[in-house]
Amino acid sequence: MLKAQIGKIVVIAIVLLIIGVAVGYFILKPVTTPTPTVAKKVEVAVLFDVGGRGDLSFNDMAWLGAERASKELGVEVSFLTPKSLADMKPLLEQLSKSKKYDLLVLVGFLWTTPLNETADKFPDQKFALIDATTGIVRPNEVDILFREQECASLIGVIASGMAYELGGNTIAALAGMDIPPLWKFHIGYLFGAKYFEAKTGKKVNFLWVYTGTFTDPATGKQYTMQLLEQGAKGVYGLAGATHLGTFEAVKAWETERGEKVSAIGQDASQEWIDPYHIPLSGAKRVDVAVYTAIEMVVKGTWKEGIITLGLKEGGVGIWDLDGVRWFAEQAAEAGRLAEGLTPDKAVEIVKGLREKYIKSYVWDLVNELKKMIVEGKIAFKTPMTHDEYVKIIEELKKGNLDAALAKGSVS
Amino acid sequence: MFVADLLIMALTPMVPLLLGAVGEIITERAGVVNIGIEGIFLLSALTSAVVSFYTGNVTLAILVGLATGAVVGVLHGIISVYLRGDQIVSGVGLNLFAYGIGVITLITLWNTFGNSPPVKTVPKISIAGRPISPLTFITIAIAIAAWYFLFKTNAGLRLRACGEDPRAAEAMGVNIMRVRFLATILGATLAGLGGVYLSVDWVGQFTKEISAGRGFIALANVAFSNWNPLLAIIGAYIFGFFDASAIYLSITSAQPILTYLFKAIPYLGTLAVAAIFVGRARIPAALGKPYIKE
Repeated sequence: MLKAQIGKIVVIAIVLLIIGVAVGYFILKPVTTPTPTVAKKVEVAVLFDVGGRGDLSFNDMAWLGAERASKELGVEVSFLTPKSLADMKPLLEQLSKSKKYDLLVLVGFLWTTPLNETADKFPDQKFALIDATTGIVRPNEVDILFREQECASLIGVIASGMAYELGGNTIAALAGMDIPPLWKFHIGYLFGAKYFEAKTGKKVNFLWVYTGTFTDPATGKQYTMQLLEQGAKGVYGLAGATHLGTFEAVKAWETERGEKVSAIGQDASQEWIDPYHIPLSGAKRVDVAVYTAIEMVVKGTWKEGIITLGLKEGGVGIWDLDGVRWFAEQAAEAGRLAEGLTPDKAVEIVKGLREKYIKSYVWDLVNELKKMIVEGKIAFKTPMTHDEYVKIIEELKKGNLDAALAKGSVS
Repeated sequence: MFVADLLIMALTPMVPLLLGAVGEIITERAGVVNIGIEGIFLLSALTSAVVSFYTGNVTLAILVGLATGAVVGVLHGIISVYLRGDQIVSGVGLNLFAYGIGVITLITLWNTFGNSPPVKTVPKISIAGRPISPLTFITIAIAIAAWYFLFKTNAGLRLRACGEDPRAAEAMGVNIMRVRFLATILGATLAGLGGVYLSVDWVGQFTKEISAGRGFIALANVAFSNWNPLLAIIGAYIFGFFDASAIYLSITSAQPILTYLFKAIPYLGTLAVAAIFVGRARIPAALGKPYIKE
């Protein structure tokens, strides 16, 4: 009897204790939480496109820029990836409504429409759209674009030169979706090939194909195999994760057919993935764009409208060996570098490939073209409609190089 | 020369579609729906890629991929056969679960969000100067064996009875639950081999969306083939052939605007073949209905 009563009392005591602690916690809580800090940290949300992180190029570069901003500028960065196209607009509205963030960085073309439908409703929310433009100037919106034509044209010259060293004259590109940034790549790459033709008198056979996806390397491999079947000696990967299949295909081609072919990466330096077959990568510094946008908010230098980054601003280009090493080191740290490779060795192999397959006359052409672009002697057209894009491509195919230029002439 | 190349290239996309479809045919013939093929592709692609990366042993990778499929089959079997759960819900859940597991594993093992490093792949055999994966022939053999099993053996007849008229089958002394459970495991195991093929043969690495809807095309192939593994070979191969042809047209036409039209060719072409030659499909009568003993 007594035992049971003691038990009851103990149970009641414990329950009371728990209630007491809980009540005490809630009463004391407001006091213990720190009151607003002196200088509020700038908060930024980076919204990837549906591909999300992990493409080792476009989205991962955006992440890199935001990380750098958070370290160097001391901002608080959150990352979000919408699950599907349909989720993009609700997510954007929800974040704008929350008023939590000083800046929303929208990475990729696919955000254009959601932003267009949202930006006017939240005039106090700042937006930065990376790699696309809504075509509308709003005080709370900045669009940062790249002049992809500039780096693609250099790659076009190099790829053409390499094709000849590899015993052919066909170059190819594996593109993702038929969208404006890819149009610019197409114009630049074809321009480069035709520039090479015009300057050297050597014919270049040009293949360009849209896979319709940025996320499916199996499809990428299928397409690449057929491009190689058509005689391509170099395949320029412009399809995010899809062109990881290109890297696999060029490797398989050598083991299965005994012919050396090459692939070219884009956005990040991708040489480390397979330095034996990827001698170079085009640089599209999405990181610089994201950083620039965040910097404008932190330093109060916000300017609405469109900003374009090209060779001159270091926004696009070709990764040099230091860039190759940096990315190889990142890969090595994460245990992703292939067995038997070190960053040093990867750089060494890439250097060897470049020396072997990119002759000095090709570099001369590249440097000449680059100089004209950087000095502003020539500037590329940016097509506003699909028709305009197709028209430029058709003119280029006929060898009319100036059709791709908004300023200057190369003929 | 070029048609011959397309005919060979059609084999690559055929393999996972056929394995997924044959597995599903066996499962559905017994009366269980498993729309989680896509998820099994992903999970088996993942586990086999991990094993191939860390051990370099492709045979072991294949076995682990098969085992992964089997384990998923056990789970789906328990839920849909013994617990009489909703088979569609279980399948959808499986697909979502697989995607999540894939991404989490990538982050944990390689600190990446999208894809594994390159892994060792199944060595190809050369036929007429063209490299072909041995899994291609194994897959076709499996499909033929499945047809023989389903339509020419006693065990196959019992299995089909479970999907058509389970009460009558039980009266004949068939253990409905057990047959359905085993058919689900077998089907999922074959889908597992499809997943292995994706990562350890076709692509040479795992990526978070490596299945890219192929599990659902395999499901469509089940209906295309009228639940017959032999017709499933044709369905998968025709799809593969139109797929390869569409790529060829995209590349050679050099008209970006037509690419999207070409991308519809495999679907339209396969549909046309189904409409003309296969005729009306007949679904197993007791498909998707949990069996409740009286």
